[in-house]
Amino acid sequence: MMVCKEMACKEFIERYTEYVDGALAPDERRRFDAHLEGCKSCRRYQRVLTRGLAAWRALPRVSTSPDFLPRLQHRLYHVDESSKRSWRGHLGRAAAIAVASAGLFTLGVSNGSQPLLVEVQLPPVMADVPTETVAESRGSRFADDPSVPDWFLVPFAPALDDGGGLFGSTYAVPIATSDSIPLPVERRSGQLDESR
Amino acid sequence: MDTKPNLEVTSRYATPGEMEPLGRGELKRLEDAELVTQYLGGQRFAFNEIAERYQDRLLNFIYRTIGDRDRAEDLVQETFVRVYRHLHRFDPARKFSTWIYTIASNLAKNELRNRARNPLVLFHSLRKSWEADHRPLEFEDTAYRPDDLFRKRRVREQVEAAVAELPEHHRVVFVLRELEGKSYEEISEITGVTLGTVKSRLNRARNRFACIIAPMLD
Repeated sequence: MMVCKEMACKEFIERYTEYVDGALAPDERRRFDAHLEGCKSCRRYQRVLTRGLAAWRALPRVSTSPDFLPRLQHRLYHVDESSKRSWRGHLGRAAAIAVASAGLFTLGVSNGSQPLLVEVQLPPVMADVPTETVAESRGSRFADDPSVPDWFLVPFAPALDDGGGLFGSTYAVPIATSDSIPLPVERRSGQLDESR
Repeated sequence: MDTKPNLEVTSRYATPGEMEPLGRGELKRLEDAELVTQYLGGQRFAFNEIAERYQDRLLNFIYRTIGDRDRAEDLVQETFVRVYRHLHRFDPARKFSTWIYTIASNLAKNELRNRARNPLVLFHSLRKSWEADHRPLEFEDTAYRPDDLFRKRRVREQVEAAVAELPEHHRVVFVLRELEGKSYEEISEITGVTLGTVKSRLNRARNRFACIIAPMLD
């Protein structure tokens, strides 16, 4: 490695990037020029680098394949679609949350400081009862009790009655909410025995 | 007849009627930032122009960085998809090319890191790039003698191998400077490092490159 009185090769190599890219001050640049003129080793370094880079830059440039833009178009289409779906999902969730929040808020306001107890007013139970059935039923233990309403004396659940005896009498019927599903039956004590 | 595909996509930002539609010729004359403005204003063809303008530049940048042409093309696609998604966040005060190169550079660096973690992928990609079938077709100059042609090809291979040997963070800086001709400031912005680090990395990359190819060129 050459060490001239102005500059060592080490400095030249370390700052070669600034020198070759024109990032040095004029004074500095003159120092580098002077060193290069007198240093065979640094001239070789510069020559190798210049030729090597030239060879590298001369490598053929590649081009995108012919279907590059159509493929890109396809991908961008899906970006838009997923973006739309995402927005729809966000909006749906936001709407559901807003509705739920509004409902809870309304309940909270209507109840004031009371706990949120929901009072649901069920529709009255309507039953078409043949007159004779009610009349027959009046023969039971509760028949004469004016406080017992007619609906209480209506035979319940014909399917269960088919056995003909065991459930053949009158039962109290909890307020029914379904037409198809037989609900639990509350049995009044003594009724079964009377019927048998 | 113009057979170029049309990247007419349903723009999220398109507001028909806001801007006068521009022809392709007019779009070609616009600066990058103006194209972005046009696109955000509803000119859907403006993105087509951006893609056409940058596709080969980005491909060469990524290809020279990772050394795998097919994968490089995939990453260019990914670059455009990310640009498309985030175009509304582009700061017009910045240079568009710097922004798009930043995205491409990050993808290339991630690719190199993934390969470093998975040597099998690296082996396959290197082997593929060595196969003659994957090299671009070249029309050889018949004025050269066969030994000259051989030597020239050998030098090219060595030069490519020398660049491939550079550490990842040196290679990105090296490619941006030597192939893409970016300024130190742009490289600093693209890579997210200081100017001093850019100079240092570039100098080390050049030194390393010179050391590898010196025996071939002497």
